[in-house]
Amino acid sequence: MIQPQTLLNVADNSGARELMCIRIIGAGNPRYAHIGDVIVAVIKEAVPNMPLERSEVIRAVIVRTCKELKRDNGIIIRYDDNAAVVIDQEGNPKGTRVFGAIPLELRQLNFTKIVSLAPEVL
Amino acid sequence: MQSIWRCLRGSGCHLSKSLICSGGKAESHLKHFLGNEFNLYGFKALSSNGISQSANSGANFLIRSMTTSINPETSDGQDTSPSTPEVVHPPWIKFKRLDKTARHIMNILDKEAVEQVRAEREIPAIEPGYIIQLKVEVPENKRRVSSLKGIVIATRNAGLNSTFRLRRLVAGVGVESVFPLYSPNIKEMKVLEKKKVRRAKLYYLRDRMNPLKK
Repeated sequence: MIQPQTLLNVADNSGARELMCIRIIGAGNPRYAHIGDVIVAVIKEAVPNMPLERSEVIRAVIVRTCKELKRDNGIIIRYDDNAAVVIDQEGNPKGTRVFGAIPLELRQLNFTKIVSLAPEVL
Repeated sequence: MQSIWRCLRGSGCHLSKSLICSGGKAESHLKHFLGNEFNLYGFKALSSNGISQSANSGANFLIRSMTTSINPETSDGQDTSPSTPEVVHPPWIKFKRLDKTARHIMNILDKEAVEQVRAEREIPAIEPGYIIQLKVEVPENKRRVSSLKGIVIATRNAGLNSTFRLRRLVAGVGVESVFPLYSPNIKEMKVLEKKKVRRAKLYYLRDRMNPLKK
């Protein structure tokens, strides 16, 4: 349940450390974003000497939330933090590596590159 | 006045000075207060003799005579024998509450389903604090997920819908998963270790076993 002003960790090596959500992309004025939703975010904290800098507005896809993710087979998954992967307009990740666990739902949402880079797909 | 009552209540107590002093007036006062129903024989004895043995007898007499003026208890022979002629009732059909019956049936169905699943595969007893290894099949992946290992932090007993919550560390991130105990996707379950815990829900582990905590 990510909404504007939410701080998110960054789960890749694109250069950003922390993002703040500004807007949720989607039709019908969505109130909250869940795993697999694309958000517009501003970089609050960045690693020095990288292409991405602080206070840059970028797009990201949410890969982990503290809010539970329910599956049809009755399994519920809950992560310990909120995290996102920085992407470009097409949906390809800007970084080359992804950290942490990624849920399977991203594969159905056409983020296959992220899923293939993931160290652990839940 | 109070001293008179005290000696009336308990037998064998000595009369106080105040009684002797107001001996003359006590009789009239008592008559005024208690009414004519009470036998004042005892009082006469009291007022004249002061401390005497007759005080006892007088007190007892007075206590005995201090019964209330209610009529003695009515005889129990007032039970009504039905004087009306016998009314024939149709044989009474016992009508059980339908929702109770339904709940009972649901309970039985639930237990049968649980027994059926238990007969198929072996499911060990799971308590909070156990370290468990699971083999879960994920149909989306089309292959068996490598066994999940974690600590059970909560269990919920609800018949066929019993669930347990597993906490594990995956690639540096803490993940909690809720699994239905009797899910057909769980192929194998094995208890590795049993930790001693003093709680039924181990939610405090979220702060302790958290690598991402700053």
